[in-house]
Amino acid sequence: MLRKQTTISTRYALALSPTTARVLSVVSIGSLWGWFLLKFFLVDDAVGLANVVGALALLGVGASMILLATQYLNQAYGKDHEIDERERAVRDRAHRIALNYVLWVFVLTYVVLEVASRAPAPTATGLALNFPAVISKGMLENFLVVLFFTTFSLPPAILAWWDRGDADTE
Amino acid sequence: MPKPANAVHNRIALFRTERGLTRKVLAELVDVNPQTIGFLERGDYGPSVELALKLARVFGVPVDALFSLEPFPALANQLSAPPSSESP
Repeated sequence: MLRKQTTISTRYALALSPTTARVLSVVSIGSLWGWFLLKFFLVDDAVGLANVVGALALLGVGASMILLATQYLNQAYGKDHEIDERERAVRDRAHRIALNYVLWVFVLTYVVLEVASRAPAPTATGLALNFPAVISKGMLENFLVVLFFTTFSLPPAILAWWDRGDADTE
Repeated sequence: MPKPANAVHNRIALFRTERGLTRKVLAELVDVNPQTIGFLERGDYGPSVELALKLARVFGVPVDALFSLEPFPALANQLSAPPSSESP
């Protein structure tokens, strides 16, 4: 069933330009993963650096929330009858990519855990990587926060990257 | 987005220009997003049967005058071609 999208694209949504939404998507995903990964390199007395890394989390979550308030959320998570057939096809492709992303994150996480469990202790190698032998509750929570926000905001982000802007509307 | 290999060729841009319609107006007539008209005209998206029929109805032509699985011959070639001997 066909349905024009002009009513939903700006309804209850921030009408950001594709370029702005793309920047937000990079900031969101980059900051969240940066926060999660950089925490492994922090040493206990680096309080200033810890604050900077912590700010990355806030930046990532904030950028995700803004991205999820744009018109791309409506297209990515709206009902079928609210968007037209091409938009549904594009949305489905974006969600397939998001699913692949989650699967690859799981695979890579498993591989990293396996490799880390077999690697020599950091003191022996001289590396500053503080990878713990046991995964803490906090680390798991951080991982889930990153996975939740990046996965939730990935379909709208992909749609923003594929959006051709207003060039097609004239 | 990558272009589909089995794209459906169309003359939407030709008919739309001839009718003096903007993409926005045409989109409203067939109830789609204006960007979808652009995707159709470039061959980046193959329409459903329903959308193809709606577009043909707007232009008042048969569907096969608007869409084809084979590329349409250039308009200049068609105009300059000698008239067929079978035509009345």
